[in-house]
Amino acid sequence: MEKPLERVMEEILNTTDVFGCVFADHQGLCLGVKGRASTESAGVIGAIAEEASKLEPNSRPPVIVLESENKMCIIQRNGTITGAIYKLI
Amino acid sequence: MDRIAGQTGYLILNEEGAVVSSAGDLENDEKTAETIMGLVNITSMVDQKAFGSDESFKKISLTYENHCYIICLSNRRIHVVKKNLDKLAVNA
Amino acid sequence: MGCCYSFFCNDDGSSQNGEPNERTHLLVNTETNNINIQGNNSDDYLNQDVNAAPKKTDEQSALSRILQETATNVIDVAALDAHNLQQHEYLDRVKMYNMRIQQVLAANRQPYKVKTLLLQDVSSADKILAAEPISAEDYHFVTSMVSKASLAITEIKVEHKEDLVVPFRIP
Repeated sequence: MEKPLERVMEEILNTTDVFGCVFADHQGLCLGVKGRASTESAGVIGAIAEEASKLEPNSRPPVIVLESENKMCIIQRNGTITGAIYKLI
Repeated sequence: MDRIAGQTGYLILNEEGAVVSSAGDLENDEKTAETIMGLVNITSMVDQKAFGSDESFKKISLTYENHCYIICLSNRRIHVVKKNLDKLAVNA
Repeated sequence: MGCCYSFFCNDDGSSQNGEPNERTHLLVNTETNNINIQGNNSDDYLNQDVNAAPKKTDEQSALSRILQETATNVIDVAALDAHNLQQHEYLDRVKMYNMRIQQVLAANRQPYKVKTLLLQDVSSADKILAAEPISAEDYHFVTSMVSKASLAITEIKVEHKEDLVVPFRIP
């Protein structure tokens, strides 16, 4: 039953410049990870999404981007799941 | 702070989260300041495997449907800018 | 008792199947028979006694050792009484504790640490703040992927295969 998620993660990693992705559940536990990403980051990803959603509680969850010199970490929550995609700039 | 294109508000916080200056939509917005501080202080490392232990981020942005917030740290002050976006919503 | 018993009964009534005499056992059971078999040699009894006694003293000493250890270590909370501190004694203690605290603080004083943040300090904020947060392409890519993943998650559910809790059927 994890195949659909596996397929989504494969699709994500097949995109140019994407090198990793992580999915966390509403408790910050890792649902899936692929590429250059660690399961442990699921907790932090979930926490960042949680905190960011407090900025505008009445709006839909924002797309959070953490940008470093040459990489970016894009986080978004959808329903109970929070996803993070790591991409090269 | 210079006006940035599309800017609807800004906040400048010191390292402890106290508001140094603010304007526009974010004028005296303590609640936003608190949330931003909470966000910035969550951790110093997101994913060691992906980003390495010494890599840190230059900016954090939160993009909503037609506006966004951009946060960065400069000279020990946390700068937050809220600005409108018209391009994103269009390319559906 | 067993000792006396066997002493008198080694040529007892059981050997004579015939008439009961004054030595015949009134109660016959396997236990008494065993005692008879064991207790023939009075030397054995002496040996047994000697062996039994040191074991007992060992146990006793071990027990008293344990008791002693516990007694020294136990903190009887119920028995703690609010010692009536004299005023001057109280003040003395306050001073002493404060002094100790200051000593510890002085020893551990460190320069105010810069908190580790998600962000790094950059020299010029303006360029960063003026830039667009995310490209439209990336925005749509991420939102569509995460919503696909959200759908995919609904496939994951608990499959009830066997009962986890099973009643014991004790007849």
